[in-house]
Amino acid sequence: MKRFIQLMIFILLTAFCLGKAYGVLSWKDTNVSYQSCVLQLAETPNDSIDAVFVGSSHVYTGIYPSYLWSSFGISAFDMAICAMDRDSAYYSIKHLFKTQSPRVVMVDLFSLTFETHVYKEHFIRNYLTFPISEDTIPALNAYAAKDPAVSENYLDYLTRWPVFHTRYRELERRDFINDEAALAARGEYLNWAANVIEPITPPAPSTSAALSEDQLNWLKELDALCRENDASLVLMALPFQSDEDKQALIDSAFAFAEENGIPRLDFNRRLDELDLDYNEDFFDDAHPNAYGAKKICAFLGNYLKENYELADHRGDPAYGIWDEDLRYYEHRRDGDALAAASEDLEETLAILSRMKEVTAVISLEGIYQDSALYESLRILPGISEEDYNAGGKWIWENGELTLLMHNDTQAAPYIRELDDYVTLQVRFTGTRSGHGSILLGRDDHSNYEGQLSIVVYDSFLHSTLLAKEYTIW
Amino acid sequence: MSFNSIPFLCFFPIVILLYYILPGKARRLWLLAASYFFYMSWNAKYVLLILFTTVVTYAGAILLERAKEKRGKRIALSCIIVLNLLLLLFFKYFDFMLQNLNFALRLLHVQAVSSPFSLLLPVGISFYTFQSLGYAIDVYRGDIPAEKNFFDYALFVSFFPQLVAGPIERSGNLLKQLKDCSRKRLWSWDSVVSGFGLMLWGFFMKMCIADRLSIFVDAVFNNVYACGTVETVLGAAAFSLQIYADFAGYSSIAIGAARMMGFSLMENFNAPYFAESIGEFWHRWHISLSTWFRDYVYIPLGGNRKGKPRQYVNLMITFLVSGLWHGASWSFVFWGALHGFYQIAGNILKPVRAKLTKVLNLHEDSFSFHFGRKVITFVLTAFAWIFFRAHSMKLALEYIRRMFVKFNPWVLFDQSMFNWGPDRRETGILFFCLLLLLAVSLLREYKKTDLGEFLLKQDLWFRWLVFILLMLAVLVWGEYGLAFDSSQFIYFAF
Repeated sequence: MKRFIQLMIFILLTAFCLGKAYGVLSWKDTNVSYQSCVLQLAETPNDSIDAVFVGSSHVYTGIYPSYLWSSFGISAFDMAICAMDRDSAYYSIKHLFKTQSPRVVMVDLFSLTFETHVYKEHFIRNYLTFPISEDTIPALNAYAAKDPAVSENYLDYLTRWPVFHTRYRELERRDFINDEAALAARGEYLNWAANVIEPITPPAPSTSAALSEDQLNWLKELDALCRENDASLVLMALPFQSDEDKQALIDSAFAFAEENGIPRLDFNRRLDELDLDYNEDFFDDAHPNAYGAKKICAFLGNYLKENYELADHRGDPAYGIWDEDLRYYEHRRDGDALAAASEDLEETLAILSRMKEVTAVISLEGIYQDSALYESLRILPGISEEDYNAGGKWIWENGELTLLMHNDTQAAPYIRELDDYVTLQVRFTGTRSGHGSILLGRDDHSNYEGQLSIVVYDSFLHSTLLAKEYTIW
Repeated sequence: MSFNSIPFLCFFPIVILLYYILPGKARRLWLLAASYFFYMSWNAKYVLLILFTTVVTYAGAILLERAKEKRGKRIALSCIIVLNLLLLLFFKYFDFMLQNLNFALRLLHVQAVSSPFSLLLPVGISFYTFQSLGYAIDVYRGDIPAEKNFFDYALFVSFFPQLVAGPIERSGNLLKQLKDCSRKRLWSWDSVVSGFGLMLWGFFMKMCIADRLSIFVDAVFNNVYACGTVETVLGAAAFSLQIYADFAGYSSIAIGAARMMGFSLMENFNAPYFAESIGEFWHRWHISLSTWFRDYVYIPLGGNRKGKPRQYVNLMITFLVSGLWHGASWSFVFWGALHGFYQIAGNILKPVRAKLTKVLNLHEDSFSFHFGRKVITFVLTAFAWIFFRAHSMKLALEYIRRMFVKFNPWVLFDQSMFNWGPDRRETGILFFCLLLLLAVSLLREYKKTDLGEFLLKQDLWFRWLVFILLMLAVLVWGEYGLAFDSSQFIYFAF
């Protein structure tokens, strides 16, 4: 009996260790930003999602649940995976229905156009990010039936270790810790980069492309799955530069939707209503950026309100995670704006003055006193002319600038834990010597060349938003 | 179904669990069924070959035993040997013989003959053929009685832990244990724990060390013309360690698996690179094969009983056959010949070495003396391994030429060595694993115990810690499965 108990304890201990290792090694990226909508879904309170958007990168770049939340109070979620194929879309929705009862499931038809798993990495993103459940084997069987590379390595994919284990070569901090801010995101990929694209001109309507049996079955299964779970299925096509083949398939799917009473929304045919700017609103010809997503979400929000009377949950503590998502969005937006403006000191200081939930260190060293810098710095209230002339290190937090020390090697260093991972150290190590004056963890952001150094750290995002030196003369 | 495969990780627990649950007599049949299933998982058709060997040696041994006259016994034994060797020759050496025939025909300006067969080497054929022949010779010598129970004998030939890569067991050891397994309770908790530890260590050697070393070794041997002294020397040393970790790892898994079922297989490796002479090396390396050759080839040829010249001839014959046993290629034969030469030269030069020791005032009981001998033995074996690994004499000779004429020490300092496969991180892991290998080898050398038995004597917390760490090391650092690299995931257009 004693041996049996020992054996059981050993098995449990081993399972615990292997489980932990599996958690670290497993692949956690569904949208190329090292975030996983599957993990984000796991953080979502049960039965709190009202509208879910399913699809590929078109979805997570084009629909920001944070916009739908801030403008309409809709609790929405992007169940979107890079190059999502049909099987993945089906099993994603099935997975979501285990914990959620959305009123509306909007599926982007770009997934319909993936005939096979073109790239191994897409398959890995699509299949291996899902937790192991009773759907694992049917999902894998569905992939194996279409892709010989999957069936040849069936056991490797089923057990997953043989695929994941070499990730020890690329592990990062975020593999070991939960990034709470990123987990609060609702599936979207935040991106403010804009590129000029050719205006989207969808090919003329066509129904000539016959849907394959697989494609037809997929549409029927989606419809059946949503009906079983009392959710309304909507087929949509988000704006992208389509070609004739893809558009013909999408049109055929819309024809199927019409025959079967499934609502449909073809953004490519309603571009005028979106008012998209091809100079500002796209990252590339298939992916809107945050500005484009805002316009699409404005349209979608109205569509959902009008057709499904979704409740406005703003202010309801049960939906606090959408507030966190909005907070995450705002931090990312401000961080992006700060980085974009970094070459312009006035603009950088103006943005910083509006940011409340960050820690910034301002360091003045060397000869700068005769410049107009003081006038610029006054946008951050709390710096006196006397202190400015003497030089030193200040900290900007919660809208206040506080002097930490003048440039005195005898001054006690300022050391503070900014979060669980990064310690801030500020000290003066000697005139223009720089080394180790401002340390964020092991990263040295001292004044080396410039007289003014600004370092901005966001403890919510656990990231350095700006570390820049400005040469005044 | 190799040991380091998912099917084996499913197969083995089922086999062992049912083995313990089933009543006495059924156990042997269960093991036999499991062993045949294991063998057929490689290639079901080749089950006929192992059946042929089993039937021939089983029936032949009974006939041999029943023969009243020595002549009859000899005929029976000859038939067993010839039939088995014919099978082995055909499947393993047919293509090699044809290549040599064609070479001779080309010299005579006669058109070459193309192979009428497309032969795949049956897994384990060299091992089970030798094991069966050893049994027949033992019966012939009267060392053991012929086995009457066909199923017991079939299990002896096909026992899955050692079927495909040894150890080549002796009937006096394994057959007796297999027969007893239904009567006696061979199993004990200790044997399970110790066997499990040994299996884990075997997986570690094979998957973390051997397969990691192979990345560098393959890169060097596949790009000989890009190598200089440093790469060729390191490549030969790395291959020496690779083949040891690979083969000894596999043997550890086999011995551990058998031990978990209560069977004690013979030791196959005993810290071979601690040997101080080539003769000692062969007492420590692939022990089951070298003792097989000693008992069934070298001694019957006369061994060292008929004077020095004959002893040297016997040694050379034994090592030539041993080389050929390892592979159907002249480079294997040369490898065997080189080892034979080392031993003969070592024997002849013994007085010279003794004199040199005296002249140089070397202390035979000092650490430096023993260490020096170990290093020299390692260098000699590593040099011989070049022929083993190179697959052709031409490549082996080019490899050795570059070792001596392309002196390029700067590659040790300009980071270019990391272009030969393992990067800085992988090299670090490799050295860590090699340090563990050294530690366990020292344990073997000085404590005379294997890791499984050593762990058995340790406190529970330490044993569990080692088990779990070994498991994690194998699962994470092991070279297996589909290579995963998220750089493949760079998908700029999303």
